[in-house]
Amino acid sequence: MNGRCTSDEHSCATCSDRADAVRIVALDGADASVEFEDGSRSTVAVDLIPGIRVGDRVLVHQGVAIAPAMGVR
Amino acid sequence: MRYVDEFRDAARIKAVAEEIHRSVDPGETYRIMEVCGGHTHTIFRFGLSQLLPENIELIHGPGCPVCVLPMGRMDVGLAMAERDDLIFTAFGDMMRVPGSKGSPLQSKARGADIRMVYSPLDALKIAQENPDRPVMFFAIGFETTTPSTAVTLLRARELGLTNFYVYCNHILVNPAIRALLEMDDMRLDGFIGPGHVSTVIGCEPYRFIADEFDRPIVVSGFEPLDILQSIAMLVRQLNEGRSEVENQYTRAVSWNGNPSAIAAMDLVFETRDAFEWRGMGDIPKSALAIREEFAAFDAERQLGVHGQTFPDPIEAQCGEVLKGALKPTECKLFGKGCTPEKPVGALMVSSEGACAAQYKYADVTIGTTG
Repeated sequence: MNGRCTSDEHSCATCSDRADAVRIVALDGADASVEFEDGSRSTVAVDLIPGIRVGDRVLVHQGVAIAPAMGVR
Repeated sequence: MRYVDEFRDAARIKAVAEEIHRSVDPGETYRIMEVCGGHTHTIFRFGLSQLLPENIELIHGPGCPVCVLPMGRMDVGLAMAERDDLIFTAFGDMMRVPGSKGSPLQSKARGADIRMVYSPLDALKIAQENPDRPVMFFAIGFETTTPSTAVTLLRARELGLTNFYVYCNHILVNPAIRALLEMDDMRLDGFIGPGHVSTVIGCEPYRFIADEFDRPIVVSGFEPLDILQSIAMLVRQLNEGRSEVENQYTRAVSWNGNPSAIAAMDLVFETRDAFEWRGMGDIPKSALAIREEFAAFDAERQLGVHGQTFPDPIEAQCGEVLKGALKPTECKLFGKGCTPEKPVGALMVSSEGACAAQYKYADVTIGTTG
C-alpha cells in the first residue's frame, strides 16, 4: 500500500509540510482507495477521519488521511 | 486547469503584491518569519521576495524537520542500522542527511539494510513480511506527520507485532516559536503560520503568540497567492496595531483542527522535557516520546541506544541562518564548501532548507516557474 511518493522534483512531503487533496473512491475498513487530482490512485489509511464516506475529500500526508479537505477541490 | 493554477495566477498575484506596496508604512520595517519549510520553498521557488517592498523582510524559520535534527540523533539512528539483522526504514529525504560518520545512503553503501519508505505504514508492512528481523522506522516531522506514526503504532499493537520499532524524532512547532520569541537578539514582528500542521492542531494553539507576545500570526496555504495574501493580512494587522490569530488557509484548516488526529497523537506520544534542535539548542517541551504503553515499539528503549550530543560542523552557520540572524548567502560555506551535491550543514540537504532553496532558485524571477 501507499506506494505513491508524494514528493516531486521540487520538494519532499515531510519537510514541506505537504498534504494532497484526494477523493475517496472505495472503503475497506480503515483503508481507502483514493484518487489524486491527476487521476492516479493509491491506498491510504483513514483511521483518523470518522464517518468518512465514498466521495468525500480528504488531505493525505505520508499515506494517512489527516483531515477533511473542506474547500480543497 | 489545475486547481493550483488559480493560486499561481499572475494577475491575481500582481494585484495582491500591489496592495501590499500600497499598505506598508514607508517609515516602518516589517520582519516576518515563515515558520514552515514549505513556505520557504515557495518563496524561493517563485521569487516572492522580489515582489515585496524593501521594508518587508522575510525570515526563514526552523520549519524543516530534517534541517533542525541534530547530528547526534542521526548518528543514533545509524548506529541501530549497523546491527547485522536490522532493517532501517526512513523517508527519502532522510537518506542524504549527514551524521558524523556519513549519511544513511553511505551506510547503505557499506552494507546496511536501509530502505526508503513513503509512509510509516510501509515500514509496518516490511515488518510483517520479515517476522524474523527487527524493523526500525526513523520517525521525523512536525504535527502534520506525527498522526501517521501514531496510526502506525496503533496498528502495530493491534497486529501484535514484536519486531517493529519506531525511533521517535517528532517535534512540535509552537515550543520552537516560543523559543524564538524569547530570544533577546531576535526581532520578529509577525508569523506566517504552517498550513498543514494546522489542519491537525487547528489555530487555537497559536493564541499565545498574540496574547503573550503581542505578535500576529496568519495560518497560510502554500501557493504564491496564499503567501502574499497572508503577508497582506499581517501588514494590515501590524498597521492597525492588532495581534490576532487569523486563518488565510480556510479551504483546508479549521479552527479546532482534527480532534481524532490529536487524540491519536495523545494516545501514543507524550511530551519530552526537552529536545535538542540543530542551531537552537535544547528547547523545553518541544518534542514527543513514545508513551510507556507502547514501549515495546520504542527503538530507544528496546534497541539500547540513547540520544547523544555531537557538535554540528563548526564552520557551517546553520544555527544563525535558522534564527534569521544570517541570510543563507551570508554563511561562509554557502555555495563553496556546502552545496546541495555535498551538503555540510543540514539547511543544504532538504529542498525546504533555506540554503538549498536559495541555491536552487537563486536566479528565479516571479512567474518563471510553476
